[in-house]
Amino acid sequence: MISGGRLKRLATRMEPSGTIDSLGMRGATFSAAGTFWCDLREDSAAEQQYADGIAVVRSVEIRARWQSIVNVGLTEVDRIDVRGRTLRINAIRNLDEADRVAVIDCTEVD
Amino acid sequence: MPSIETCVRAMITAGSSLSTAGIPDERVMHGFRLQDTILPAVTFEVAQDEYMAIGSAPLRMASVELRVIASTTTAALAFESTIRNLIVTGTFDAIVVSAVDFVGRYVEPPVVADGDETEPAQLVCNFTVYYKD
Repeated sequence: MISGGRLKRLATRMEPSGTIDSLGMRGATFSAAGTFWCDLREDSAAEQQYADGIAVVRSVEIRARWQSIVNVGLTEVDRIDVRGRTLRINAIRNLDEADRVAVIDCTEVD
Repeated sequence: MPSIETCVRAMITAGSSLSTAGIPDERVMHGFRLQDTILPAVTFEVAQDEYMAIGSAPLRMASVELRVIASTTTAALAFESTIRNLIVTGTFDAIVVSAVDFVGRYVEPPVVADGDETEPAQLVCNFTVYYKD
């Protein structure tokens, strides 16, 4: 179960563009495709090597009602926009396989 | 903007033979396979690109590694002749390919760990493309 009082952040599912470029790769364009309420927890943040440079990589956990995730159609190829932050989804877990709480592991690169 | 990478992809997806054989154009990708794509699929990389001659119209030589990824070795090997027939001279994405040379191929079988879990098989084809700058 998840307390409704904790779900105080409105997150937007950002859906990747369906078009394929001349290299067969997906474009970097994401468009809003629904919202859901969530709880936002920042697990860790560390400077590390990233893309031939140094960046702060933050690990963020998002919790939401499982049914909300199902309704909005969130998948691992999407991004989540919450509080002005764009998060990449690493994994979506169905906590205890109970279809109640979705735990979404995300990464944010500053 | 045309590049040798877009040229190679245009060469592989020219016509509809690969699509007819079971790999639609959207499953031909540079570098790595997109997360939500299914098998079989093709990825390719231009490993090296260098000048062959210096003159008024120098040729460039690109070494290409193409991977056919399929769930079984047999399924991957089934695409070999199709791939070989697609590597031809011509103009692809505004780049003129003057000659091609199929260097060889090898098969990476499905990786088997302690259990019976597997990774897909890969047919790795290497070929050289000679093109005009």
